[in-house]
Amino acid sequence: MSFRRRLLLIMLGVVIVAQLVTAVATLGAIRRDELIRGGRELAVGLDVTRQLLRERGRQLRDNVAILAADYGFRSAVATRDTATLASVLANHGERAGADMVILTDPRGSIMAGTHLAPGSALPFESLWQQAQQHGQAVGVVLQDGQPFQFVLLPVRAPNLIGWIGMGFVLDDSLAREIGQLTRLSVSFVVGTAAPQHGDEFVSGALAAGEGAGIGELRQGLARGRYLEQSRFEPGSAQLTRATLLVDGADGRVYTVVQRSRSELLAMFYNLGWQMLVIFLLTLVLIAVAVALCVRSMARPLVRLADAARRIGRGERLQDMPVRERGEVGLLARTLAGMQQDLDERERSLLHQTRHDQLTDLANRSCAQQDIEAAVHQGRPFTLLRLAISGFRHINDTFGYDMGDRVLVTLARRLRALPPPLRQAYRIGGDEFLLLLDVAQAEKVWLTGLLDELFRPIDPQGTPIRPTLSLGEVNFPAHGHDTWLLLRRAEIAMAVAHRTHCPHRRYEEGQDEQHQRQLKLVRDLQQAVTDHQLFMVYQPQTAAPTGCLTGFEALMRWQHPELGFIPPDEFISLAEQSGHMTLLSQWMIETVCRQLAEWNTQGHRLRVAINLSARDVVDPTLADRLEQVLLAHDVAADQLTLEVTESAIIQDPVMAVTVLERLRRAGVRIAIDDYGTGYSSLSQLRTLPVRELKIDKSFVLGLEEREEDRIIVRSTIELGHNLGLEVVAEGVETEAARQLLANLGCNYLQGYLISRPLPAQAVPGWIADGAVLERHP
Amino acid sequence: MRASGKRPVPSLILLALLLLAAMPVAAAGVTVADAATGQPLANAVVALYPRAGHSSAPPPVRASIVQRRATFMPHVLVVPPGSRVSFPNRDTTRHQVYSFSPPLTFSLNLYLRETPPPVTFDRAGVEVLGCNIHDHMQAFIVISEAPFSAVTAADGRVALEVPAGPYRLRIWHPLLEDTHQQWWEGQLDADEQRRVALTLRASPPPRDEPSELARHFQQALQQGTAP
Repeated sequence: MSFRRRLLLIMLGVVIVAQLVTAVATLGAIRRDELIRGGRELAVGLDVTRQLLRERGRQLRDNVAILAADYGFRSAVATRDTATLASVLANHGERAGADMVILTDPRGSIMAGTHLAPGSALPFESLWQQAQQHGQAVGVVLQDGQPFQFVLLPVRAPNLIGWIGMGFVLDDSLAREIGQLTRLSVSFVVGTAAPQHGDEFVSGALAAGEGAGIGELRQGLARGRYLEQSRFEPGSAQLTRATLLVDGADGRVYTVVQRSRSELLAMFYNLGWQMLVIFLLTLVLIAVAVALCVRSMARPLVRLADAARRIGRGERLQDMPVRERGEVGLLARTLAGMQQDLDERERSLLHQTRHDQLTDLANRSCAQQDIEAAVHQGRPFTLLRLAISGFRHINDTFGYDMGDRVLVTLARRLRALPPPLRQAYRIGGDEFLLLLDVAQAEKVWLTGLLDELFRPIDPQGTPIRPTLSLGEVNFPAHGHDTWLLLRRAEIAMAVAHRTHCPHRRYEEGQDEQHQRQLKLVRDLQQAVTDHQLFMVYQPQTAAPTGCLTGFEALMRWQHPELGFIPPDEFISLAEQSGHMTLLSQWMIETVCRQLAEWNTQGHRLRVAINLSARDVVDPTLADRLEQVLLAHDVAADQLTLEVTESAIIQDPVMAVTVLERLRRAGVRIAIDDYGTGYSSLSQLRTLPVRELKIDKSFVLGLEEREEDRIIVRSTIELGHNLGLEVVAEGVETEAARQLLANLGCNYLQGYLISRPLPAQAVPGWIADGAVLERHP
Repeated sequence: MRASGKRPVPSLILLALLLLAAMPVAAAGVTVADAATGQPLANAVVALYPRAGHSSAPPPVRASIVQRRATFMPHVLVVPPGSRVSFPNRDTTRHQVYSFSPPLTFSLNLYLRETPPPVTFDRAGVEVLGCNIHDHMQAFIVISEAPFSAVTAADGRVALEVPAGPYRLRIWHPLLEDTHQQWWEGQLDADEQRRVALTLRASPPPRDEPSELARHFQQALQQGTAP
């Protein structure tokens, strides 16, 4: 429910309740007052009625007194002749307007009467007593069911000759007369103790049918109601009060005064209607006032709500659309403040999303956007991607705090670089990117950059000289795509890193090479399972005799798309990508299976396989190897493991341990490519090797270069002196074979003897005349 | 006083008869009616006085007004001056007949069977009779000196055999006015038939039937005598 409607309802509700309560209270009080007033009027009316009856009684008495004193009347009474008495009484009764005439003798015995037979006693005892005491009596009597106002007077001539009594019915005209004086409905009602037929006497308003329910009224009177106080009977339209005139054995005579309820409550009803009208008018007025008020209150709120919606949609409002003060004004000001806060927060968030928190340089996503924008602009630019070589080492050695300090310092330096630097970014943990507004970085600028960057960072007396590798790409020379440019910059950087050169510009083809390498790494696993890999075997022969002594197993990869992949390429990739274990395991499996096969064919051959640097430090290698040998029932001495010096150099202790285990397992170990790496003679001494393999680069230049001859000769001598056998590979000419044989080289391997052979060609090659040298 | 207007009646009648016989006689007819309703009026007294020559009143007569069922009968009586009227009571109740009228004031005390002596009315005029204890009883004695007079019957008519000639016509009715002493005056020829409409100005007469009270008395009496 809207605020407006709620307020309207609440206000109307309060008004309605208040008005209703007021109305009920007021009307109730007025009604009570009216009823009390009515009751008072009835009481007064009854008093007046009694007074009027008394007055009428006096008048009647006077009238009767005059008649009683009439000479003719007295003469007639004095005759005591019944017929004369009756006629004179009737005549004089007529004169007085009486409804009942009675003449008694002085002792109260009826002489003549309208309602009583002659000779009977006067039945109105109390009147008689009163008359005896006061010489006259006036009162109300009940005779034949009719109420009479009765006057009893003596007839004197001049002595007492009788009593004349005249009764006057309490009739309609009397009731009407009193009613006109009191302005009430006046009735005279006769009620008996047990109402009989309902045709008892009634005169006045009730007889005229003004008040229905005379029966109920009689019953109420019989129970004594209406006498003490006026009251409404349920269902009756009259407020009623009564007084008892006569309470005799034959019945009771009541004067009943009534006031019509509608008349009595006319003012009450009138006021009720007026109040209803006022009430409705007030309601309408309040509704209009509240509606206007609420509208004036709600309108700025609606406008503010609209403003809030617009702010939410991102609009920024200069002015709030309300001029109100007070709470609404406060709300408007708050909204304006909120808008500012939002702006600031948004700016801060935007800054955070586009900037690196540590260095406050723009971040990677920002770099991407900027590059995209620059590409879109089409003006030539240059990207310089740079990374700190061995940053992890700095972290490990000096702690992350120092690492962060290095980054911050570098960032500061980058930011401070002179034009054409447009923007510097931090795009990774230790990687930065520079956007230059030139087609290609100038040498001078680059020199300045490198000088600046390579300055030692000396935060706490510990100077750190960061080594950086920079890769450069140029737009549009090296690509039109952000990702491409970034990747090529990375490739250039990697090349710089690899070549230990601080700066390299991307060169055409590097990316394709890179892509090829990625593909090869991706496909390597597939190659193992899909039998794209296979082994070839190059024979080794004894130098002096030319007899076959064994083979070197070489791995080959026939890629379904790229064709033959040189082993150097994919093996180094496998080493870098961590696939080497997979490859060497496959190689061991394959070679051992091959050996077993040859064994069953009767060729007990010795095969050398190459271990990678990763294999050399793998403690599980010996176990795995033994298992494979056991599984194929191949003797350990049929295997020679060739290890390069550089592989050992990386973790010499572990390498020695692993090789020692292998040696104990009975495997022969050879140092491959001897002379190319950082050869250490002391290490050579500690290694459990049996062979040295002179690198083919020395063997190939044996005939031309004296230096190579010296190296080969001294190596052979060194090997022999250490008790090792020496193998020369790359033997391609007879001259070389002769030389090596002369120098005392033990085994030869090379194209002169044979190219590497597929496994299935080996038995044939042996059969073609090779002599297997028997190893001791 | 009663004795003062006394004359030998037989000679007068004789004289009148002789006069009548000597003259040519015509029948004069008068019909009296109520001007307001057009209804014929009974109990109207029509008197004719000859305009020419000497005329004298008829000789006195004897008459009576009876009280029966509390009513005087006849209601209107016309007599010449000097006439004697008696008032016999034929009711069971007593009556007290009285009059305070100009011709003669008299009162007969309550009596039943013992009829008082007749009353002589010497002076002309209208005597209004009442009963002291029965207010509704009323009767009228018109003492007239007119040579010819009569009381209208229920059809309001009188026919008088009078000698020819013009006459002064006087008419009286109980309801003509409340003093009961004024006459309607007019002219009439002997052979004229005339209708006279009277404007009645008097109060309505008391009712005649027995009152409520009287009936009650009757009932009470019957109840008293029945056992």
